[in-house]
Amino acid sequence: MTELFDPHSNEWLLNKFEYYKKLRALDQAYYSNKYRLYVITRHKDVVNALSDHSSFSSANGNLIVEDDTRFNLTLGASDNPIHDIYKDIAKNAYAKSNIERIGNFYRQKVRDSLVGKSTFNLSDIVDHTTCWATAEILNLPVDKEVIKNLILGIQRHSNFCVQHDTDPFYMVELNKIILKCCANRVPAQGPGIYSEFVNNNPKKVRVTSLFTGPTISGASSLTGAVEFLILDLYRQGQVEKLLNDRSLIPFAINEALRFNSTTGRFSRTVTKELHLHGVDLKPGDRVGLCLESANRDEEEFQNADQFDINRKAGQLAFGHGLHACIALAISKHLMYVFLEEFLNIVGNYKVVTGNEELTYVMTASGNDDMISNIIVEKI
Amino acid sequence: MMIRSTHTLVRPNKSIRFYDEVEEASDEYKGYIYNNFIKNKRMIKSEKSLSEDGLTLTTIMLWDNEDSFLDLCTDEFLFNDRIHKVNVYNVTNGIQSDVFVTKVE
Repeated sequence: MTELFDPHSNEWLLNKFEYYKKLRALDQAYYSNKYRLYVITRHKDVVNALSDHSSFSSANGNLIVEDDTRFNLTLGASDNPIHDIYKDIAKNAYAKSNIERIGNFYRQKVRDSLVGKSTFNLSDIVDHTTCWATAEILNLPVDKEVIKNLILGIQRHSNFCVQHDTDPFYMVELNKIILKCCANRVPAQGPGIYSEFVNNNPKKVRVTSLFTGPTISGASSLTGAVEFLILDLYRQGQVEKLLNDRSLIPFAINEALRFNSTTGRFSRTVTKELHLHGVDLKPGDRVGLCLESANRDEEEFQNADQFDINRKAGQLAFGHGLHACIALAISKHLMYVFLEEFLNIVGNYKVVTGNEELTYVMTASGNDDMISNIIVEKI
Repeated sequence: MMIRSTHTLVRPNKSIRFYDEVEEASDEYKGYIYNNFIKNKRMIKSEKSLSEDGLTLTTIMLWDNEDSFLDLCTDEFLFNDRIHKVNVYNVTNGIQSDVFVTKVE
């Protein structure tokens, strides 16, 4: 292994924090020939870049491996004023009133998935329950199970999501359903993206990424976040603490998000000459902003490699600034719901899969980290 | 069952050009539509008209059924070649885009 940065390698992903340590210690930001970008790993540099959206543009994408058909057509791959146009349409779908509704629905799905099981594939359960929640966020006026299964197919086969075994069928079918509903003026059946798209869209923006975005990046980042939450609580010996005191759940979630940021990396394109981590950047240069490295930077977090449930520090798992994740509040709420139900139903548990046996899902974008084979056993 | 799709584009003022006036569709794009939608009579008719005030461009198309219309809207080649450029252009220039379909009895 010669690449210091390679989020499409299982070996790199298993050892990424050791690589990040080396990258942070370098005098100059590492240039990845494979991904054609400078890898920015220090907390202060990542925060500065995420805050300065005039110097670090998203209009040419935010993925480590990009696709130019996304440029200016998605929330993540746009700058203002376009970004705010999209955000204004979608934001109510992520508002408090809708979070509670989706949380209740999700809670039931999590219960149904966990009750009666003693040994199970956690990754599979999280995958399915996340897709149910995502279908509820979209709230298209069609059978939710159809939508949930299409989202699952997108997660497993879309070329926007995975590198291998790709099949465009699921994305095309979802787009057809969206277009069909919109073109036939099918009334919304409740709050969600569809309702906002048809009723809160004064500029009549016909950009289906407002639907497909949550099914791609939203679903994968929530899936990864829940997986790492359950995995790290076990690996770090925190389960009994939480079983004895549920008031620790929000702190456990916050620390789990810092400890393993499921959306580990974003890209930006530099718009002006500037100096960062020992490198002179020029317009057009690409940078990879490594949130997960920033979250482990000893300059920012004392004992950064230790999982500390009492840590009261912010983290960058949902990004920062203009492009901070629109689904931050709902994601944290769903993580809370999952963990609460998990502790209630499963109780104490162990992770059977060894640390070195974990198999990452190779995402096409290189941004998100999920694991496909976490086997859990009830104790 | 045949359907009619009505696609309207509304520009803020006449100084903003519609995308068709900015960049003509490529021969490959036109040929693809002809071979996959017109020749086999999936798209039966297409008419464009500009409103008297010059702000609304309306395209009315007649289709053999709704699936044909949806196939065109979600075709990967057409999206990559042109549709996504049109979408970006419309959003960045404040052009409202709307589509609706009606059944033709």
